[in-house]
Amino acid sequence: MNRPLDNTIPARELRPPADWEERAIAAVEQRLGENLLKVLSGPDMITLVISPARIVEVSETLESIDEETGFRILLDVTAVDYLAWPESHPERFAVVWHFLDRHRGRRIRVRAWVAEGQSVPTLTGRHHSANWAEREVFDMMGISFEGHPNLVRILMPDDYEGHPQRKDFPIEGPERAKHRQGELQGNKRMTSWKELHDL
Amino acid sequence: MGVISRLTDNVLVGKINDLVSWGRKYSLWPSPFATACCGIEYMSTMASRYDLARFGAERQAFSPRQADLLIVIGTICLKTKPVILKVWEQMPEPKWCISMGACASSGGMFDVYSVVQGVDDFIPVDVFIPGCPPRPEMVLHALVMLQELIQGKEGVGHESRAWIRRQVQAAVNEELRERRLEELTRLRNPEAGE
Amino acid sequence: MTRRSEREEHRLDEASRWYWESVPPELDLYEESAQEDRIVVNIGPYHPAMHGVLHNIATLEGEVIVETEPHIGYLHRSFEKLGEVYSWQQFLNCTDRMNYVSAPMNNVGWLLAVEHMLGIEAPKRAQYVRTIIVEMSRIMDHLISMGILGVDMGAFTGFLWYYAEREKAYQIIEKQTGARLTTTFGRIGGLERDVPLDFVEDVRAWVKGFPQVFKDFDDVLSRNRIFIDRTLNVSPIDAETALSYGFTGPNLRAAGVDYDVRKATPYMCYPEFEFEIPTGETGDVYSRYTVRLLEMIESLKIIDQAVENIPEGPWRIEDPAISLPDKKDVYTRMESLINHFKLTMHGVPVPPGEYYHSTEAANGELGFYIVSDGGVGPYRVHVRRPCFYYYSAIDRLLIGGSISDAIACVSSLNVIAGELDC
Repeated sequence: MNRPLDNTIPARELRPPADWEERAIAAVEQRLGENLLKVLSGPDMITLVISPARIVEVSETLESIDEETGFRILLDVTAVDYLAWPESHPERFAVVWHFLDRHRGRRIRVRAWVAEGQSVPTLTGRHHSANWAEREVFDMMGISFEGHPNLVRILMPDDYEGHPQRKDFPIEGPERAKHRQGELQGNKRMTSWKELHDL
Repeated sequence: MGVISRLTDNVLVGKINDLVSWGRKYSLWPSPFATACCGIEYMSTMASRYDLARFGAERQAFSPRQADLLIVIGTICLKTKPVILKVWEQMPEPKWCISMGACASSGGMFDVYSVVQGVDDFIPVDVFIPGCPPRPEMVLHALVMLQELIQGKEGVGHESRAWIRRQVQAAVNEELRERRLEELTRLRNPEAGE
Repeated sequence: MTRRSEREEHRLDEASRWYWESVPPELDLYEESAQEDRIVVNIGPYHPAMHGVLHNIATLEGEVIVETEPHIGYLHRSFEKLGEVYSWQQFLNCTDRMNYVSAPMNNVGWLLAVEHMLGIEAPKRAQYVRTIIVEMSRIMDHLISMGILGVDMGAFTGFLWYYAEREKAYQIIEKQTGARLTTTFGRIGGLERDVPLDFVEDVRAWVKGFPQVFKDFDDVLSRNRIFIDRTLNVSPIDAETALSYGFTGPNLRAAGVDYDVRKATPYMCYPEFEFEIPTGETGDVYSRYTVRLLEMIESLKIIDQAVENIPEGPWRIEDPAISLPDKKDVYTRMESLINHFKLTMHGVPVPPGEYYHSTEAANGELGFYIVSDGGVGPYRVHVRRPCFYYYSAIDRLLIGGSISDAIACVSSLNVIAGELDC
């Protein structure tokens, strides 16, 4: 990886240039073509919705958005299970990456819709922080990352069955959920307060 | 007992059990199995304001072979359960256990898949300390209670036993007494719906 | 190569050097016996260093760690799944228990994230008090972590001095929030109650007494020959590697990178205060120690500036959809009773969408990624916690050192198991 070292980048004006968002979107669009599915602009940062197979290229493109600064730090990898989402959604899971540009104080979110059983390329080759974050996503949601050096469970015991953070996994675990009394029994345990008001 | 009455001026007489218990209770070596937030309050108890050393429990024995009191401090998860069992089994007799905090006593606010709902599922606990986290004074109170338990003082830490005794004695005949005793002392498992 | 094995080579005395050099090279006995001499040892999860349940399976060659494999999950309390069951206000209780040594910082992080999603801002008075309590918690976190660093090396006195300061700070926080450790500080839109009447004097007195304790601890440890021997050049990390591992906070600043969320993406009222960001050079244990000590001084400056200028005014936003009404109204007026009921049962009206907000917690960038479907509670909460990324770099940091270096390293990273396993 011959990108410039972090401390050789001279200190800049902390606020990012005004049109960086358009340039970032343009750069990613040029690289990805139609794999950049949507761009959402939220109150905190913009979100690029891509197809999951192209994440490594997005990470490369975002690394140098204007001159030498860019999103060089992977803050976080996480996933959301949309099983209980009230509106329609393309696939069951969404994997979400957050990138940080520490020189200009800006962040960007990249999101990809992933079906159950589909796997996503790993970012471990480019960022070491992806290693454990992807292991946690695998442990909690069951999404596998191809190319990951050590994709085993991290938070639960190695021989645990089930992926706890999925929406159909009861919060007190399948064994204890059986003993819930009354109508909230077994896997009808509510997983959100919303259901309390529907009762 | 003429000899004893003449000797009591310069000789202390007592039961060996009492003397040994006195020695044991004032030199408890706790082994703090600190996992979570209660560990910080245990550190407060060890620090200078709420000094644990006053009660003889200053020397924290991190090796269970040298400890006689296991204080389970904080949440115990499924992954930690074999570890804490091993630590308990390595402790030599006589040994006691204090479960500090709501998480160790009953799972606390975490009624989730990965948390053991109370360490007394697999370790016999002598004193439970409620609180999230309990104040250091509560930990000291529990230690004092345990000391009185070790001494075998009547009525302390055994309130429930005295109550059980009264209930049993109030039953009319022998068979009912046995049945009442059985009912009151059978351990019930809340997870099995009992 | 590593420091330890270089030193060992120099220590080979003449006789053994003669012996080993006289063995024909094709026999390669040293390598073979070295392979057999490796033992596998568990460092943790129950270990004398008072750092919660952290587990490392270390392969030792002599006293040098040649391989290590970290295992976590011994305190996995699934806050993220609890976030789906609790309401917006109730999850505040969970945030206390993550980084439990500086609970108000997690509280304020969560509150700011929810307030940003709602599009509101707490009034100035609440922001100033939040800043004061947050900076006090930062100091308290560093007090514990540096005290425990001393304890792990065998220096117990400094810990007791620092802990006395922490107890004094506990009194102030207990007067405001009601609890010493798991504070549940603040409510959405402001504080939970107005500050007590002697808050300003208490904080001033605490700030006044702190530099002397700081100087005492500094005198005892910072230029202590034994402490320097045990911490200087132990498990260094360079800036590029640290950034690649996702380090943020004091451990990254010790490696020379001056990234602080309070300066890079300011939040609350931090732009109004003047403070600096101390950085180290090599990222070793001594740098992390020094950076934390200097950060305590910077936080003290912020508290000093803030406590002189607490503005008068409301201490929470006066919106009936967000703040609970006064208790005396709840007991006497019907509208307030209904308002209280609605807020408690149906929660605050957070619009659907996703949001990521991060604050500078004592350990680094603590981020909350929230997905909301407009319901009573969040649909999904993910906590980006700094300790997770520190501990992922532990194999790189521990290899080449001895077990005592390993203890010093884990201690200086300030890995809090509650935050690590979330």
